Amino acid sequence: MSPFELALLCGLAAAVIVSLNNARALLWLLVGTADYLITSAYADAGLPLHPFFTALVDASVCILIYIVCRFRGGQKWELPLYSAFQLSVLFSLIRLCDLSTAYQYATSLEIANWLMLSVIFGTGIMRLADVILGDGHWRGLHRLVHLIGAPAKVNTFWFAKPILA
Amino acid sequence: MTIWEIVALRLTGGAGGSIIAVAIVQPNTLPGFFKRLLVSMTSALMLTPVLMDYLGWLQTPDNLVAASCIVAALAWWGWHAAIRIAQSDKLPWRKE
Repeated sequence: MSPFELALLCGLAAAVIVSLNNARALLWLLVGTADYLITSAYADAGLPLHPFFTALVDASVCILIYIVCRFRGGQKWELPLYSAFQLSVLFSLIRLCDLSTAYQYATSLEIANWLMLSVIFGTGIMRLADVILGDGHWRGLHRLVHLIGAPAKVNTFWFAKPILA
Repeated sequence: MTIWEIVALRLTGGAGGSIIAVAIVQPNTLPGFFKRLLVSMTSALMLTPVLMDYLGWLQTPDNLVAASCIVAALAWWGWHAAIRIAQSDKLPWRKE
């Protein structure tokens, strides 16, 4: 195991510990871990077009977040997670166009992974701090926790009616 | 490669590019989704050799799938942007 993978594993463990009472965060951590394992196994096996495969898997995760947030109700903190997966898709597309080297591609995916982990860890740690500090200690944090926990409005295009001018 | 193999590889790349694109640029309506899908797949079939010539890629199966994926993902966004610009009221030839 490389030091980078070990660091990601530590980050994952920290994110799991602070979001044990948040089933949705645990779900996205599980999905993200499966995504990482599948795509890195595909790339390590030397199979062709691994940026294409990685982009497809990341895009599927994006669509999964979109659908789950639409039908099961999403919260505001899940939207930056969605953006981080979109960023990962864009990095894979850039690699597919041969606009970045393998080293730059690996680095950029690492950045995207850390962004996803920090979104979930940040949500968990803020909620935990809010609970520990209690009401009336730090109103800014309390308002922030309410803000990121607010329901996210996601409209799916397959229910939208076309606008006739 | 036969012509049917080339068409199948381009369609594979086009389908992958469309899945990638729908995660980044969402259409507004279901008819819009199908229109974009049609345009993406058609562009992947027709414009892939243009991109491969531009990038100087050889015609291997991997390169065909990669190039048609890029073409489909760009077409998903690009043709709609072109239509929006052409129909915009803020263009000089539309000012009255």
